[in-house]
Amino acid sequence: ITARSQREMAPADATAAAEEEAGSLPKEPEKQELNKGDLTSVKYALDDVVADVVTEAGYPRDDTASNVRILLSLIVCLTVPASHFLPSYVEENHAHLLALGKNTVVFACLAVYALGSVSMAAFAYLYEKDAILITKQKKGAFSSSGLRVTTNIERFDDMYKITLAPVTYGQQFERDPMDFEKSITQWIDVNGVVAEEVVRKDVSKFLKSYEKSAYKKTK
Amino acid sequence: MSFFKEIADELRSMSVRQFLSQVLSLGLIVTSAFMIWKCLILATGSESPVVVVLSGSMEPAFQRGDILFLHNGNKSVETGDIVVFNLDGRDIPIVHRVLRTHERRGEDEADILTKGDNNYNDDRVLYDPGQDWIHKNNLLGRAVGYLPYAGMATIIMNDYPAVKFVLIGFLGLLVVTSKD
Repeated sequence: ITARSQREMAPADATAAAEEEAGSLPKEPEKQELNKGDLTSVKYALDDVVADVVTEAGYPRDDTASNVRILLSLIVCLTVPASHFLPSYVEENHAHLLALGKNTVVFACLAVYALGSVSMAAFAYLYEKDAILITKQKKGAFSSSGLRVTTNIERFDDMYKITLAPVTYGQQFERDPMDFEKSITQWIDVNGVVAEEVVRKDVSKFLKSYEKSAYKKTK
Repeated sequence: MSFFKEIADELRSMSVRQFLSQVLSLGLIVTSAFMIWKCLILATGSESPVVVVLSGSMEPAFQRGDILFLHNGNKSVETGDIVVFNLDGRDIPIVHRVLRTHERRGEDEADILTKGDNNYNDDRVLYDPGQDWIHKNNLLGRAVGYLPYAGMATIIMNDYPAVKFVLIGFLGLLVVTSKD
């Protein structure tokens, strides 16, 4: 964050004022002070707030990606005890399976490990990409789809960009994604505390404008 | 101490799903390391392809704490080779040099006598009573390379077993609470 943008940052009392207005937040009692220099932790903290805003607006989390990842990780991790205990078991009970040599079972476990790891990487690259949140349809809404929320922040930049795109199934629900950019200097005060109320207000406003524009398809 | 508080807070703020994901990430790291080890075993043909020299019986060639890379091929064992072997019933491998071999024409099995460079006597004092030779099935492999002093960490963990648990526990905690 350059010296110029530091001077422009929201002063510390803005956070306190916003807190007073909103009343006491039911979440964590102490505000976390972020390391402003560490852009990854700033992005994670802001991503958490953005994800909360979207889920609280009525879009339930879609856990398929997480489930697939957990399942694949479990299979890959299980190759460890398999390669340790299976060979002796196979030797005792099913010796005919060892036709290829006494290391067949170990090779098989290695193959499962390699396949599993490659699948996980492929899945992350093809399905999840850089989305921070994928949701299902809003409760009761049948004309709109779930959301795919992506956030981006460049390495030495201070502009945080949120992209809302529909989760498309073929041609159904397809529409152009919408962007929202804001400098993080407007969201973090001098001490590194995230002004959550301000962030929530901005993100909800953006979410509402996205929902409204759904009926004006540009295609 | 605030470092541990950070970790405790992080753990408390995670949902069950997130915690499971992080534990599985740790599991994946362990699995990768284990699979590399397994590949080494298959490639070298040895049950224990990397060993640490535990005693000073091979000085000045190998010091305590050196790491040896082994290869267990089909080539016959020659005098002068440095071999690592296990005696029947004992599981601490011994690193010594082959002093004498007896091969029988047409047979695969050879008798091997070993001695540590820095020892006064050959290894018959170490072998089981009545055993004068060891055989190929006792060998873990021949030394094909070494890294000086790279195994000191293993020796420290052998002498002070608590270090193992502290280190692994700490690293595990770090991985589970990291945000990747």
